[in-house]
Order: sequence, then structure tokens, then C-alpha cells
Amino acid sequence: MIKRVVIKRRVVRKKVKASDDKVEKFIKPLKIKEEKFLNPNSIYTKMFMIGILVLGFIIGNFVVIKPTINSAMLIEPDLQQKKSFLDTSETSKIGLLKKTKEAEDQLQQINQSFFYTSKPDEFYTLFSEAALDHQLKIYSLNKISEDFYKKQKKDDPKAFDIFEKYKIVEYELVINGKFIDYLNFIKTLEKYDKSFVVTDSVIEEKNNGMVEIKNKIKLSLLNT
Amino acid sequence: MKEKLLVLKEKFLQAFRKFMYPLLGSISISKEKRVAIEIQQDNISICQFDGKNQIKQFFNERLEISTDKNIENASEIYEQKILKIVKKNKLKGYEANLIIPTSYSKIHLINIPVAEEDAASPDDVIFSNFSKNAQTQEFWKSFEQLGQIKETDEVSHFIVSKNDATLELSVVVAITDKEKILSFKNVLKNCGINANLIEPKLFSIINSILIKKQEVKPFQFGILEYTNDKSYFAIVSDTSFKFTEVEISRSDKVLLKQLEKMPSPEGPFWSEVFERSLENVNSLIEEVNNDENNEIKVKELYFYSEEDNVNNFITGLKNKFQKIIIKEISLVSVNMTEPELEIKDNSVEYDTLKENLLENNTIKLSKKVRKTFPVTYIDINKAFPLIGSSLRYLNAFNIKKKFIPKFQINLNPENFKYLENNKIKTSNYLLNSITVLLLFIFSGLIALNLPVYFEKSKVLKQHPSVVQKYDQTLNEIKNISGKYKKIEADSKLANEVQSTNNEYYKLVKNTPSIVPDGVKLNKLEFLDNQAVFEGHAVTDYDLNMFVQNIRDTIGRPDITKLNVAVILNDDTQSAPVEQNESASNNNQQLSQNTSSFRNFKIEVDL
Repeated sequence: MIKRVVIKRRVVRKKVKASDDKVEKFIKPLKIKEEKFLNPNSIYTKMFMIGILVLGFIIGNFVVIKPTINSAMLIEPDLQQKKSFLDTSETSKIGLLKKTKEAEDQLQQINQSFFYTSKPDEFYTLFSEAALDHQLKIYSLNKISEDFYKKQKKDDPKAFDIFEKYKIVEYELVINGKFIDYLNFIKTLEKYDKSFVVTDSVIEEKNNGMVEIKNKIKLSLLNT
Repeated sequence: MKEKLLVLKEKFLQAFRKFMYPLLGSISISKEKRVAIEIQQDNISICQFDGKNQIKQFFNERLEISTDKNIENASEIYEQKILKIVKKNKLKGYEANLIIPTSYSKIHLINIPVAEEDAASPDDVIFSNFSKNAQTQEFWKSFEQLGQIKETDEVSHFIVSKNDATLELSVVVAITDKEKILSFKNVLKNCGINANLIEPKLFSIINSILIKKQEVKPFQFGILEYTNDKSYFAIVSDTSFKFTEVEISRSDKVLLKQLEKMPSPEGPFWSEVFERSLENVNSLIEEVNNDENNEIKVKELYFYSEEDNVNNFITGLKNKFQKIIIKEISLVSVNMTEPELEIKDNSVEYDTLKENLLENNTIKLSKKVRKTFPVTYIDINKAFPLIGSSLRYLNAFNIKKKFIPKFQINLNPENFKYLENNKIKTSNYLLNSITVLLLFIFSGLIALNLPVYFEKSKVLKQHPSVVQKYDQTLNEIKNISGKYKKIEADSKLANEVQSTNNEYYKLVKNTPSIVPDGVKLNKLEFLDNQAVFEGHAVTDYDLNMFVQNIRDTIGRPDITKLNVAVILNDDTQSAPVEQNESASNNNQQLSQNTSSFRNFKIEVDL
């Protein structure tokens, strides 16, 4: 029989006592760095930097920022005004365009009532056809005068503004027929809505219920 | 021209110094972390001033080094011991005012003539060409009274005063062996302390005494630093400085050492010894006191010695200068009661008067130091020079402060370098601070303005396009408006030109309906908006009806003609014969074959 013998080893750790002298050897000297002559130019460099900084600030603040703010403040009310104008301008524009269109239509409509210089026979055709339709006889038709439209100047009543766009032509017209026919003739002319006016008229009874009508007619012609 | 420019430059520099140096000097002093250190054979003493009015630290520690060793032959041991103290008290990185024994330096007081421009004002002397030249040894070698100056010597100087009449500077010159200075300096350097301000102990003592003296100007006192090796004597006033080394022969030194073992220094023998030993001192005092220009006489003599037992020497001193008060400096008040006072003819005589340095208006101990002071101090009555030394700063800008001592000699061989570096560092610090401050201010101002700037930039950027759009729209509107106005004008003109027959049409159309049965119209005229009806009516009634109808339908009628017409019945076609109405009435019955009618002519304004 084999007996196991367990040998227990007792390990005794040595206590290390460091002497004060040895400890002192481990103290690391706190050497300070050798100071060298400093370059005085660093002062000038820093002063230069401050100069640059101040210059940068002056330029940045007084040349860029402040003038920009001041300029903007000066134009800001104008900008606001213009913006608010633009905001409402579209509506105004549309309104104005509408009004213009209406005025244009109206003018066109007015212009349609004029006789045109390019169609000098229109007046006679219209008159003669109407007269024929109503059994009236046009005895005579004489042009009395023809001139551009003139208008007295407000500041000088003796002088006239001449409008070459319009011509005023005066005719003397003698018609013969029954009054009732003449009345219908007038009604027909009225329907034409043309720009002419009877300035003077004398309707005189003749024999057999016939009347003689002497009219002075003033035509307004549009130069085209 | 060049000279004028130089004068101008000097004036500019003076003005610059006057305004800027106080500021730079204050900054420089506030940036110096400084302690005063004195290393003696077996102990180290440290004192720290807070730069305002308090002593922050004041202590000494034994180094426990054997008596045969000193800092020169056992520097490593000193380093190790001091390093511990430095670490314990967290003094690493500090600058130090190092006190070295006065005997390490040969001190001279000489007068040096200077050029006028070099000494324009007493305050500017330190910045003059003289001070720059004085950095070189060659300059000092030209002064014979300084003796031989070796290459290993460091020459330091301090300008005491300037005589404007003779244009001479009174300068203290100290010649010190560099090796001796470096042995101290290197030990501290290896401990992490930069000893860049080194002064002889005598000046530390003087500066300490001056803390109290400067409060009562004018003053004049003598100071005797006595050691067995070498002794020094100086007379200090608020305007002058006199100095001499006390020449005691070797035999007398032995005798004086033996004196302390004797019961008393009385007797002719000892009087003779003192007479010989203090001959220099006596002659200097007499020189000052006999000077007619000098109103204040030397009445006080401060005594300082590191020797343990000097009681008999002090007694001998008192016997020698019976009309002068012998004083010792102390840092505690309790000893003040010791002296025996005897007043004789305005002079005070007593054994030794101990003056408490801490009873002053300039500096005091901090609360922390007061808790342990003076119990922790090895020899309290010998420690006071540290206080005077702790008030020293490099003071590169030579500013005046209440606490800054008058005597500012620096034995450091690299003094000039440190002064210049200090100036550059301080200037750089100030410039850096100004840069940072300006950066901060400018950044702040810019930051405040920047949001507004960006907003306004947008406005500016937007403006041209808005203006363009505005102009465009305005032009469009103007064009449209112009077109509209033109059309309006055209329409107006067309309306004016346009002729309508409304009135004529109305007249013609209405005429058949307004003519009653009994009325016959012969003629209808239309002329200038006026209608004229001509015809005849059967009866008045018919005519009236016709007139009424005209009024109702066309306008106001105006009968311009009315008469009676007679028509023959058998000839109905014949025209009526016109008669007046009155005639018609008279002839009504004329004939049955005739009919009468009313002829009329009516005008109507249309």
C-alpha cells in the first residue's frame, strides 16, 4: 500500500524594507527647462495680428455689415411699398385690363357708328336704299363743306385743335314723299345708328299729301 | 537730423514707458509665482509673499546634513532633501529669490559718470544705454576700483541714486564667483525651482528693515551684519547709501570669538579690540554725521548676526557707540519688553532694542501662517531677511509699488536674459489677452449684428429683383393705363365727334301723335335745336290741345304768330285768307260759304 504523503510547503515571503537612502535614489529630479532668449519679434507679430484683427473688424463691421444694414434699412420701406404694390398689382392689372377691354369695345362700337373715309359711298348707299324702301325721292344731294374735326381750345377760344382722325362733311339733301314714309325712313335711319346729324330741316307740305324735306346733314367720317 | 530723430525716439520711449510700463509691470508681477529661499548648512527657509500684503508661507525645515558637508561638495544630498520639501509644499515650477551669504560677493559702491541722454530722468536710467552696456564685463573692467575681474566672475549692479549736479550715478556693484551661485542655483533647478533672482543677504536684511522705515521718511540708519568670517556695514537713508566691509584682522576675529566666553566685554583691552575692529564703521558714521549737508544723523544701528552667541559683542558695540541706539530685528512682540530704557538728552540707551518687523502697515502674516508661527520656526530672530527678500520681483519694467524694496540687486548671471524674457513674456501675455479680449468683443459685436446682416443682405439681394418686377409691372400698368386713357380720350373725342339725331328723331317721330284732328301742320322746321311748327287749327280748342301736347312731349311752346284764316267752302283747295282775330270776329257773319281757321306759328326749344 502506497501512502501518499503530502508535503505542505510554507512559503514565507520576505518583507522588503527599503532604507530611506534607497528610496531617495528613486526620486526623480524635477529638472526645469533651460530658459532661452525669447525673440522680441513675437511682440511685433502679435501686434501685427491685433492690427489685422482690428482692421478685419473695422472692415467687416464698418465697411461690410453696417453699410449693408444701413443701406437695407434705407431701402426697406421702399421694398415693402413695392412688395405690397406687387401683391395688389395683379388684381389692379386685371381690373385695368378689363376696363381697357371694355373701353376698347365701347370705342369700337362708337367707331362702328362712323362712316369711313375709305368708303365714301356708304352714306349715299345707306340713304338711297332707305329712301327707296320707303318710296321717297331724293331730289338733290349737295356737299356743302368738308373739313377735319375742329375743337375750340380751352385757353384760346379763337384757336382750334384739329383732329385729322375725323372728317366732318355737310350735305344739303332734298327729299320728296309722304310724311308717313319720311317718318318710317327716319326710323330706319335711326336703327342704322350711324354718325350723322340733321342740323337743319324744313318739312313743308306740298300738293297731294306730299311733303318736301330740305335737310342739312352733317356726317362724321373716321379716317382709315 | 539723425540726432533729432534719436531724441524724438527717446522722448517717445519715455512717454511709452510712463504710460505702459506701470500696466505691464503690474501684470508682470502678478504673473510671477515666487518664493524667497535661503539654504543654510543644515536647514532651508522658505517665505512666500502673495503680491498684495500677506505672507502666505513662512517656514523652515532641517535638512539633517552632517556638519562637514556643504552645498558645494554635497549637492546631490541637498537636492534629495530639498526635493522632498518642494514636493511636500507643492513648490515645483516656482521662481525663487535666493539669498546667498553676503561674503560670496565683493561689494563696491562706486560713482559712474554718465552721458546726459543716458540719464534723462532717474526712472529712465535703468533703461538707458548705460544699463545695456553694464551687461558686459568689459564695461566694468574699465573701473579700477573694482579690482581684478575674472572671467568666472559675475558682475551685478544696482543704481542707488543719481546726482543731477555732477551727472554721476551711485552704483552698487557686486562681483560674485559664478560657480558659487550656480552651485545653489543648480540644486534648486534640479528640484524644479528656478532661482532667477539671487541677492546677497545684506540687501535682504536692508530691504526687510526698510519695510518699516519707509513709513516714516526721512530716515537714516546703520546696519551691521556680523559674522566670524566677514562683516559688513552700511548706512542707509531714503536718499543715499554708504557701504563698507568691516575690516577685522584675523587676530581680532579670534579675540572676538573668545569674547563670548568671557563674562563681560568691559575693560580697556576689549575697548581697544572694538576700537580696532569697528574703525571702518566708526569712520563711516562720523563721515555721515559730520556732513553739513546731511541733516539727519545716524542714531540707529541695526545689528544682525547668524552666530548663536553674540551678546558680549553687542554689549561691546553699545559701549563703542553710546549715542546710537543698537537695535535687533525680531518677528515676535514678546521680546519688546526686555530692554531697559534710559532717556538722556534725546538719546535712548539700553542693552538691545528688539524691533518687531511685523508691526507695519505694508505686510502681515496670513491667518494660516499665524496658526503655526513662530512655534515651527527654528530661530525666529534670524529669519526676517527672508521677508525682505520675498518682496523682490524681477520687476523688469521697474515699477514702483508700496511693497517693492528699494535695493534690487540680482546676482544671477542670466539676469539680463530673464529681464528681457520677462518683458517679452509680459508683453506677449498682454497682447494675447488683448487679442482674446478683442476677439471676444469683436465676435460678440459681429454675432449681434450677423443675424441682422443676413436679414438685411436678403433685403438688399431681393431689392433689385423686386424693383425690376415693380418697374416691369408698373410699366405694364402704365402702358395699360395709358392705353386705357388713350381709349378713353378717343372715346370722348369720338363721342364728341359722333353726331346723333336724337332730338330730330324725337321731334319727327313725336309730331304725328301730338297733332290733334283739328290741327293741320303746313311746315315743320328744325333749326339749331329749335323746332318751329306752322299750320292752322280749326278751333281754339284744337290749337290749345296741340300746344298742350307740345308742352307735354317736346318742350315749352312759344306761339310767335296766330291769326284767323278764312277758307271758301266751294273751293276747299284754296288757301285761307288771313285776317286779324279782331277783324275775324267783326265779320263772322259775312258769308255762309266761308270757314275760318287759326293760323299759327309755334317755336319750341328742344
